[in-house]
Amino acid sequence: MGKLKVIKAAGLSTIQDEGRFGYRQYGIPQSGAMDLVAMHEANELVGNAPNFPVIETAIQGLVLEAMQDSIIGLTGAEVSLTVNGNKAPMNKSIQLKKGDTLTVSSPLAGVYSYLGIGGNLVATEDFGSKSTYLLAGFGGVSGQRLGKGDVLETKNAASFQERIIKKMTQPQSEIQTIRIMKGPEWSLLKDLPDRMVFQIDPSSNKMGIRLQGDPIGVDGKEIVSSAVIPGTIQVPSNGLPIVLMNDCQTTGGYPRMGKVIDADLGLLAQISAGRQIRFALADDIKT
Amino acid sequence: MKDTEQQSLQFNSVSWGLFRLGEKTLLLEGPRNIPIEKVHESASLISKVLGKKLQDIVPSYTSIALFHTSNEDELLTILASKKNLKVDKSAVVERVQIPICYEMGLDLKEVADQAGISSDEVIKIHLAGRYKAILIGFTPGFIYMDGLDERLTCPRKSNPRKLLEPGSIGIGGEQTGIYSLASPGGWNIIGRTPLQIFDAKKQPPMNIKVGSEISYERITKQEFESWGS
Repeated sequence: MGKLKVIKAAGLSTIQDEGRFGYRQYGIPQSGAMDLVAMHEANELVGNAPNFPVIETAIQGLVLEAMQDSIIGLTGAEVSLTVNGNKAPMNKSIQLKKGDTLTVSSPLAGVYSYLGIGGNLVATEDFGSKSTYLLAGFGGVSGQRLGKGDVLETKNAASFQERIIKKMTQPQSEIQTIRIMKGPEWSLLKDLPDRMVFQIDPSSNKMGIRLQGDPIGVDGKEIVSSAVIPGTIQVPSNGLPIVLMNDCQTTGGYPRMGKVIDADLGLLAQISAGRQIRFALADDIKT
Repeated sequence: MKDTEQQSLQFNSVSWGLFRLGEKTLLLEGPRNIPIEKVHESASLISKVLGKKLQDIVPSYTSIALFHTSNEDELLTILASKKNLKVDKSAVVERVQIPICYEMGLDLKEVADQAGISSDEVIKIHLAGRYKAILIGFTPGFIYMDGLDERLTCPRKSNPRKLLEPGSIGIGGEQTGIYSLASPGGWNIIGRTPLQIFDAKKQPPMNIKVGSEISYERITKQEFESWGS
C-alpha cells in the first residue's frame, strides 16, 4: 500500500479515473482523465490495473510527502520531478521511502501530468467512478481539488518493479493535426476555411477547449438542445469552434460540426494555450 | 471510418435521420415537428428493445442519442426489425408535485415587470400551470420543462449569477427549469423548492424523469425552512 500527504497543491490537481458512464440521462458528465493514454501509463508504471484512479495535475504542480513507503510513477505533460530535491525520472517507476518529499513542477511542455500510486486509491465513488467532478462535488476527495493536508492512501499495492514507459520521440510539428469525424450539423457549415487551423485559447479547461482563428460560417445559429459528448466540436455564432472535453454538459444548443476522434482527444488535451492545431477529416487521411 | 452520410431508420412509425455523434454514439434525429411525447415513447421502446446493449440513452427535443458498447450495424438491424411494437399505453406517467416558496424568488419582480402584471398574478399563473420534464441536462439533474404560460416568458439575465442555490426554479426565455444542484445560472429565479431533487447517493439519483408531469404547490418561507425536519 501507499500513503502520501499533500504538502502543497497550488493548481488544479484532482483524482481521476476513466470516468463515469451510463448516467448522461441524468445530466451527469463523463469526467475522467483528459489524457487516457498517459493515465493508463501511470497505472502501468506502478503495477496497477489500467482503470485505477490516479492524480491528474495541471497548471502549478504539486508537493507530496510519503507517509509510508510508496511506489509512484509520473507520466503525461513534461514536468520537472524531484525526490528530496534530487531530480527524478518521469515515465519510470520510483520507490519512495517514508518521509521522502516528491515535487512536481508546473508543466514544461503539455498540460496534464498523471501520478500513479501503487495500489487502489481510496476516494469517494459516485456513479461508478472516483473521478472528481468539481461542479457537482462528485468523486475524488469529497468532490474537491486536492488541497494541503489531504491524504492519498492506496490499498493492495503490487510489489515494486522497475518499469519504464518508452516514449516515442515524435517530431514536434508546429501545427498538430487533430483528426475529426463529421457531426450531425456538418451540412450546415458554409465558408469552410481551406485550412482549418486554429490556436488553443487560454480559457480552455476540462469542460472544453476553445479555439481562435478564422471563423467557420454556419447556417442557422442555434439548434434545439441535443446530446453532446467529449470530443464534440460545437460552432457557436461567432464561428470559433469549441471542442467539448471530459467535464462537458450532456446537451448543448450549438451546431455540432464534428467530433475529434477518441484516439486524438488526449493529444489535443495536451496542447498548451497559444499553440496551433489543424483539423483534418479522419477519412481523408490515408495511413 | 464511414461518413455520417444520412441514412434513415424506420422505428416506432417515425423516420429517423441517422448520424454518428461519436465512435460509439448514434444520433437518431426525428422530423422537426415530432411531438415530444413521440420522442420519449420511442426512447423508452429503444431502451426496452436494446436492453444491455445500450450503455446510456439521451432523449432531447427532437432527437435520441444512443450510447452503446457493441456493433452499430447490429443495433440498427435489431431496431429496424422491430415492427408493430406495442406501446404500453397503461404505463403510468409519473406525476410529481413540487413545493415552491415564491418568497425566495430572487427575480419574481423582474418577471412581473416584464409581463406588466403584479408578482401575485405571476404566482397565480405559475401555480395554475401543468409542466412536463422534457430534457435533463446542462448540469446534473437540471430539468428543462415545457408548459410555461407565455405571459411569464422573460429573457435570460444579461449577467448570469455565479451561484444559485439548489432547488432554484427559473425562467429563461420561453423555457422553465429547476436547478437541482447549486450551479451558476442565467435564468430568472421565481422561487425555490426545499425538495432534494437530485441525490447522488440514491440509485437512480432522481425520481423525476423525462416525460414526468410536474405541478407546483405553494409553501411559505417558514414551511420551506422547516421542510423535512
